[in-house]
Amino acid sequence: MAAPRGYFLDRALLYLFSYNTEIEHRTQKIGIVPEGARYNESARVGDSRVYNVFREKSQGGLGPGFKAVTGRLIAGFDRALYRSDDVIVGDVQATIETDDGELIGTRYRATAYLRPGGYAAYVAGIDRAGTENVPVQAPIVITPSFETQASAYQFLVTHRCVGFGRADVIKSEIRRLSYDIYAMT
Amino acid sequence: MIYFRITIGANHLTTVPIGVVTGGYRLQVTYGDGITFDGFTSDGDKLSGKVIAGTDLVLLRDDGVAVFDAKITFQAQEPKSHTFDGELRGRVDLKPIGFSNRIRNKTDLEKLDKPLFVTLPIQFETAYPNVLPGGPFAEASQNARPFADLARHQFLAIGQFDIDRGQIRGGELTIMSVGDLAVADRLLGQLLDKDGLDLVGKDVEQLIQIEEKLVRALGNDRKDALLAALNKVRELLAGSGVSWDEFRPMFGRIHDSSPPPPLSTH
Repeated sequence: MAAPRGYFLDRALLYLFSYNTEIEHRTQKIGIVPEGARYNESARVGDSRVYNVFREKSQGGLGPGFKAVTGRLIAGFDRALYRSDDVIVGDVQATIETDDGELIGTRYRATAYLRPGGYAAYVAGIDRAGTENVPVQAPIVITPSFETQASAYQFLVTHRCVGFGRADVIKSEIRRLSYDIYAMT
Repeated sequence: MIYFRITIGANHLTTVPIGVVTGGYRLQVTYGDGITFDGFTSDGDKLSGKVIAGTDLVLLRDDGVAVFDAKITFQAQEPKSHTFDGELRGRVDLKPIGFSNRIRNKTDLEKLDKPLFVTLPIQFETAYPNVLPGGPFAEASQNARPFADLARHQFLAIGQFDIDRGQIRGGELTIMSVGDLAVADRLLGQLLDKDGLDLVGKDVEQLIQIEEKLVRALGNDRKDALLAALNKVRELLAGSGVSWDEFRPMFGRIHDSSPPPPLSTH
């Protein structure tokens, strides 16, 4: 049996791209189900952008083959569950059309923890967190996987990715999502 | 048991080819406006409404199998306004429509140009009835009772998708519980055995007689659901030329001579 290590294995997060998603104002409330409260959210695809924070065309310094991803969402759908343990879990399918005309499909789970007692207050209708002027910002972590046939974006397929995001919450409804996507290398 | 038919008019599904991915060819399918459904609740009340959202990432696998993974949101107008979710997931062999090889490009994809008969598992999510007096989920809860069986049983979607040059554009799906299908199938099998009928002949009059016997045997409370299943059997058999024995596995049925299970009051 190998001896326990006394050091960490090498790891790094490689920034890939960011995106902002505007959420349709009218969420579809499925209702209270055994695990919690179920609702669906759709992206307003015309208002949802994919971009590079550094406005770069390639990921300089990290070797060839990492083309910057810029474009827009052409589909985005989230089956969300606000669990009774105050954790929101998302189940997302989305498609990106890049500015050079390639299509990238993605699906992922999202996890967000708002606050203790948030679920009970939300379903009872007494939690109206966030306003138009001062939205509450909730952290969200996603683990997307990507699919594309475009050779320029194969690095998305060959790496496991993670996204760190913020949800803008207005009157306890998520109105905007913003993520930074990284490859775990 | 609750059942309904989803009617997807031409061009109410939008297909975007994402392209070749690991293991197959990926399509993004979006359910658009104009998709309706109608049927009956478990209490026999009329059920109708429309699809308000839906998406699927269909994988046309390299071994000639289509894998569906659709999330569909339904908005009922009858018997009450109510929103519920469906998850349509499963596989369909593309061999019967001439596909057993990998799709490498759009030219290959466009050769998919025939109706695709499907039998896919579908499961639903809907609210607990009458558990919340107020709050954002109160309406969903108040109107949920006629739909409660959707969340308590396993259902199948039987029908077809219309495919036009690689684009999934429309279709029709009949949604029935596995229990109803099993009962209908078993009783139909018994009647066929008893009467010595052969569906290969596709004699419509004979089939109508079988339906009438079946309805008499079961009573009216389940008549519509069972007739829907039988109609679907008839349509598919008439259109395909396959025999009942060939068709039977679609229902996952083990044919035997034991009496049918007792009927529930749903």
